[in-house]
Amino acid sequence: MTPSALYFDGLTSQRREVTLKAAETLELAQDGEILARWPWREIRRADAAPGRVRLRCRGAAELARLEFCDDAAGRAILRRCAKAGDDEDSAISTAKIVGWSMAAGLSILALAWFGMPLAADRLAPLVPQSWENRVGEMVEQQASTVFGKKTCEGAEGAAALDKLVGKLRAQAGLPPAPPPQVLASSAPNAFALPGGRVYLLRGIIDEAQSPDELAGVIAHEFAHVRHCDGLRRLIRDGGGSYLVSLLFGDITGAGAAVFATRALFGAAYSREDETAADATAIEVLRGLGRSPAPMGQLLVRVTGNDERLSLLASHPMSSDRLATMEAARVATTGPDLLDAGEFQALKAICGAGKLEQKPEKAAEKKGG
Amino acid sequence: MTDVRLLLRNLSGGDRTPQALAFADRAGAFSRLAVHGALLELVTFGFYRFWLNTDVRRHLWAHTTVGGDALEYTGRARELLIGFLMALAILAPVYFAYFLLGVEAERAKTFGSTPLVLVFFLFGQFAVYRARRYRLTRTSWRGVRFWMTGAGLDYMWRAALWSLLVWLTLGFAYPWRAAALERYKMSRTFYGDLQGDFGAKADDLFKKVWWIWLVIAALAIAAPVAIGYGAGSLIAVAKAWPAAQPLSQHGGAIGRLALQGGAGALIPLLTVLLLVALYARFKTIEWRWWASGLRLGPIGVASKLQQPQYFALLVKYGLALTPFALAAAGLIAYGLGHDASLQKLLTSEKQPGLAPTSSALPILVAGYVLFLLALNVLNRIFLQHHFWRLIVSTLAITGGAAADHVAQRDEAAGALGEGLADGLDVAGF
Repeated sequence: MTPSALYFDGLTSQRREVTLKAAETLELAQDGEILARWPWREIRRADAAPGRVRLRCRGAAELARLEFCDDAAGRAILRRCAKAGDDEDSAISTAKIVGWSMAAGLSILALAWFGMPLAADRLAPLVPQSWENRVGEMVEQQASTVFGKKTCEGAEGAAALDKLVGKLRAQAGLPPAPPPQVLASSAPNAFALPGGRVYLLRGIIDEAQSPDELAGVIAHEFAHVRHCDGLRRLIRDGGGSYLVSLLFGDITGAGAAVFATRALFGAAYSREDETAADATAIEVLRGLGRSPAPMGQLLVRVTGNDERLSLLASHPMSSDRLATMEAARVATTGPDLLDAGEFQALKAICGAGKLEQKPEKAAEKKGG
Repeated sequence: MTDVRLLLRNLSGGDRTPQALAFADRAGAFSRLAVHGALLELVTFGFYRFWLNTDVRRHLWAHTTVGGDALEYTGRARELLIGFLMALAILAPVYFAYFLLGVEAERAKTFGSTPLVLVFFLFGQFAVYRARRYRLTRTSWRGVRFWMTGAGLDYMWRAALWSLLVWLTLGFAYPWRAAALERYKMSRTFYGDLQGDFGAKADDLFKKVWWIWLVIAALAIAAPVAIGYGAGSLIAVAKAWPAAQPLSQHGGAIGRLALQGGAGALIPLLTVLLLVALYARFKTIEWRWWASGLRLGPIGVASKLQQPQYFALLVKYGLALTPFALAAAGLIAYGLGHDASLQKLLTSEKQPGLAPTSSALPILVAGYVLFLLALNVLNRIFLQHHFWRLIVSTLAITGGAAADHVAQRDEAAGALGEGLADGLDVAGF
């Protein structure tokens, strides 16, 4: 009995029962009429349930299929097709996929780890001042969300702070910027945003025992601004996570990997940035004829002598920084940055006076 | 000749009555595919997903028979990869512009950039339409292809406006959204020269499901409360347990503690199960309604899906996932507890008895990766394979005789939609 099969001609959905004849080509016939001739070398396997045999032909209609009801007959025909197993469409082997994927992944990671810092170093100084100011304004919004909008507005203290900051800014060679603000938060911290605006938190003013100590902290923050550290970090972190999230799509794990790598990026480079900022701060203070040692003492007092070693710590150990400051100690040759009265006024900027809220918030309260 | 035909029918292994749909594959074949694929995805930073998704679809399609003839998925991984690269070329500048706009928005007001997320929602709807077209045009049955007309952008605007309405009506407009969008999609869907349509009415769906929505909303508020109560009870029991020893003296107290602990564990569990059951009911009703509305020319579809079947599937999925979730949570807790830097952060002095390692980061990562792999594999097995099998076994075709004489039309579409959907992580059929 000549083998039979089901034939779909790929032009209509009609199912035809055909008989097969193995000649120069595979001949498909129904009721004596030859419907198609499939050259042996053009026949390929098509998807089917496991064990079933389904064939297609490269020269024929794209979706034409031959399906065998009798598996033995199907396999017999298959044996005569030299190239049935070739699947040009899925030609890439798994090994190649794995190899090229790993290569692509590693080069993207290398680009993010090495390339982004380089790009950030090159690009940050090129960013125009106006753009930098915009970024600073954006961060300002976020900072007030985190630390609260309450500022300390004691008039004499503000004047003293302005004077101190003005001297340091001039020595550091920075362009003019909005006046410094003191936020009524008990955390002992200070930061300077891209654009040069300085924020001091009440906590650090409370801890300071001399104007030199505060000057050191402010000089350190100015050093960050001069080195464009904030911008560089933005470009580096932003660029790195942009690259990683783009290429890896949102496959499970990439999001978290991004976070983790960001934390590491942030930590590793921050330490270099911090050390460089310390060096510049020392330079600025010595330029004003003051010793940097008090700054180290303030740091140790504020952070305690902790021994955090883990990769995730962002600042170098305070004891190391104290040692650096002590090593850079010089005799005091310049005038006091603030006199006793001015320093007392600064210390009292939050405490003795009333805690005023920023104008917008006050207006909100009135209107609300 | 008739005898031979009968013989052929019996040998073919599939039910050749025009109405029958069946899904039959070897036990474990799909699971092997899923596990193998998940491991390769991990090793290739996720790039293997194009090949895995293609293999999954080829498996599911090829083992599904309609009237005895199997479906065939003619798409290839290469197309998905190219679609992804095209989407990348489009999305890369979009993400960058989004970032710049975000900076400007944040300047004006903190978190002012959140509305920009809507842009990606729009993109997602466009991608859903185009991805559906790609998959349909790669599906063939009896040598004839499915295909779609219509523009992705048109669908995108419709979907966005309907979604806005649903949001404004707190979800009650959902049936009308579903009906309108399905009608749009189905009237532009073809099998050969048979045009599709969608005949089900939104009112029917609304009448059956509105009460479920109310109950789910109430439960969604109650569930966190219940879970909070449960956690609180368990912690209280744990604290009081040492004081209640020995058993002989404090029998009554032990009994009370046991009851409290039992309630603490049981109440949130029951709440969650109830939520899942209601969700299953809703989805089952929606699915039956959707199937009843499908048309391809004179061909119609009916679904006999029952809520217990779908609920059982979801519960089994949850049960399968639980051991992995617990194991991962255990690893992560161990890692957190032993990380030296975290310890210093959280406590001012060292905990006696715990030996800190320099960094427990590898353990944390291992826990996380384990959970994600398990989630990936179990998602495919339960929510793709078992779900597909369940649906196919409960579907029936009516008027299938018309399927015998359909003529081939149109070409295959490009894979840009799939690429965008992949780049935006959007799913959809």
